[in-house]
Amino acid sequence: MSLAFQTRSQSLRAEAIRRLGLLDHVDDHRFDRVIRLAQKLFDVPVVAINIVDDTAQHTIAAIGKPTDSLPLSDSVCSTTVEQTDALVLNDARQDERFQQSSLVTGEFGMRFYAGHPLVAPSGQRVGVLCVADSEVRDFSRTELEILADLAAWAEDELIKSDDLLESTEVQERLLPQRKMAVPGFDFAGGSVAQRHVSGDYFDWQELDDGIQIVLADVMGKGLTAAVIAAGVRGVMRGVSRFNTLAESFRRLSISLIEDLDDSGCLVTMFAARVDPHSGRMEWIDAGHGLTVILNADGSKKRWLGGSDLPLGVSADPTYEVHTDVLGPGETLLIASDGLLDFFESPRLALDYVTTIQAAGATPAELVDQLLRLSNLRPHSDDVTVTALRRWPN
Amino acid sequence: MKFQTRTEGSTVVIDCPHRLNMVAAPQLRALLNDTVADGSAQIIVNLSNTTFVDSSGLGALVSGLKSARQAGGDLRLAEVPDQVSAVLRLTNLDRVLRTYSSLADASREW
Repeated sequence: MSLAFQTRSQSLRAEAIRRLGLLDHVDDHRFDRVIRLAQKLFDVPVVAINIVDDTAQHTIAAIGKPTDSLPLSDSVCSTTVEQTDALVLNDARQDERFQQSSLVTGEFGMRFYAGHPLVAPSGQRVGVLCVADSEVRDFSRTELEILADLAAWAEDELIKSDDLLESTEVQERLLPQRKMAVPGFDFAGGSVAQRHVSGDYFDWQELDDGIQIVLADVMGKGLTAAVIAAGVRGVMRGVSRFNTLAESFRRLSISLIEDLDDSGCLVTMFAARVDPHSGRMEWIDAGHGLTVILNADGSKKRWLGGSDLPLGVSADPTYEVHTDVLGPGETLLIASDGLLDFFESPRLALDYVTTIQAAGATPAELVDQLLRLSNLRPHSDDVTVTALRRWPN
Repeated sequence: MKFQTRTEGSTVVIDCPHRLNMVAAPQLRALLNDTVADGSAQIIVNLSNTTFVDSSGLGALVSGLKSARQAGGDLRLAEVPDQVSAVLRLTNLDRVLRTYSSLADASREW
């Protein structure tokens, strides 16, 4: 293999590894069953799944692992990963390519090795499932077939993460791609999903009678919630262009009731339409409950909490339209209830928000700081936050 | 993780497990639908052993409530933990899902 080709295949492999996030977890328990079974079937002291990128070999799952990572010069799997089929060494000491490897010369004293390359959904070989022993041994044709089957099983796990990644990317496209450019206003929004895909979304639209901001939370998780959220967004964008806010809610709710009944989902939604000249706004709260207007220095705040039910509860709903004025310098902040996972009460969550606001945060900083909370608790709910600020006079 | 169902007079009481999350919610939804389909529309969901209800759990409860009401009955929640009461208030669902502090209170006056 030419050096140029090898370098290119290495960088494609590194890209596939990055995409699958294979090196992002300390212990990848997805592969536990595969390696446990391999260990029992082959009765070897060492079983490992090694990912080989352009710098080193990284062990992401193993039994009796001799190393966490190895330089490529010491790695046997870095050779296996370049092959389309398995590499078997009955006695590594007799193979001049590997007899200087620290695996062979070091404490483990590896003699036997059998490794099968693992192919990512993108077609790149990204790693190796390998078994090893400090004793010389034979490896039969049947054993080779078993190793190939186990490698295929490990590859299935890689496909699962690729499917999840793809749904995450699809969902990201549902969030606004364009930056709002309405003179007199700054807007920021963001969303963190805890299970790759989320039932939360936010959106904004410039309509004839103002800027409309929507934040919705499909109650339920994962892919079902994400698909429903995509439907909610599409219908809401369509009806909003031609209807008042109240009528948009009613039509959305009626259109959705069957889908929501069938899936057992509810949707909480807050939406506001703000006149960009006067700051006058209409808003509706369908069971959302986490919206607040803050003044410029965070010293004053008012809750915008309505008493309407989430979408999907009633087949013939009515929605109360509330009015307010977003004054110069004021910020309309909407959050999904995932934010409450970090605080004992909605009030404490709000106190935290006002502290950030008081420190002079821009809408983008406000959103970032709230979303960053989700790093502190990795298994909490999805969190989505938007902030719309009217410029001071 | 199991649901226990028992009949007390014309009322069906469903005892819920410790966590009513996305694993348990589909079971609860099916159980509530079956209960109504079998002709019992007066349902009490007993949450005395439950400490956590997530949004899919709430969805299952509302779905059961709708079936029960369509069949002329109701779905009541007994011994609701604080975490659940807070979510019901936040989402205004406390307007439709009635909560009772004890099973005995929930069993009265259908």
